[in-house]
Amino acid sequence: MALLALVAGCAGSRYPAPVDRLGVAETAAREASRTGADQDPMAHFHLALAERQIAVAKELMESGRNERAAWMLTRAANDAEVALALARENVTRAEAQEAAERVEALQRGSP
Amino acid sequence: MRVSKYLMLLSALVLTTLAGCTHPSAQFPPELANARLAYERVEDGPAAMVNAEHLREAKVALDDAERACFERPDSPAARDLAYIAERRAELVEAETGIILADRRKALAERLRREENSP
Repeated sequence: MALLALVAGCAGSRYPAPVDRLGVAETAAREASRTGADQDPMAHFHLALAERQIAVAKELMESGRNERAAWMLTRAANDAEVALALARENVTRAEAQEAAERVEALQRGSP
Repeated sequence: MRVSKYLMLLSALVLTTLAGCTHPSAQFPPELANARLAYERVEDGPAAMVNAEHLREAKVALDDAERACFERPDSPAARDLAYIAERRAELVEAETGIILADRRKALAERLRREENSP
């Protein structure tokens, strides 16, 4: 019985801790937050998902479930990427709108 | 008359069984349905014109998810792949929005320069 437990334990710990993926996911989430993801509902939603998944992944890593943690971090990184892209889209749309309004003002003869 | 009625019942039974075999979508995870919807939405929009390469990558992600869900519908990895495929499609959608907004901004700035030139 002890031997079986040892084998099971060894099998569970064969998958390496996804430390690199954790770094990637956390960096992506920080970048999304810095770009203003919190200011847009959908971007904020994806950022919150990413942060939650990172937290779950850390718990999984602590309990040795590294393979599940790796998948969770891949989910988190993808959610953070979506949050970042949505935040950037909002910024770019606002800039395009401002540029269009400046042209309209010029065409109306206003300064 | 009894024979034809029997044949009709038998045909109905065979067709129902075949339908069950060829439509395993009932056992697919909901993440796959979400991923398919997200991809179809993006595919129908301007991404095909302005962000075709990333759209193709999103399709590859969806195909991988479809394959995993078909081969191992109950596995966590299949659900993860479907989740990721949905995110890849959403990313393409947001990137396409950025590209189009950038083009509108560039056009507006060009018009402004033309308005300002003597």
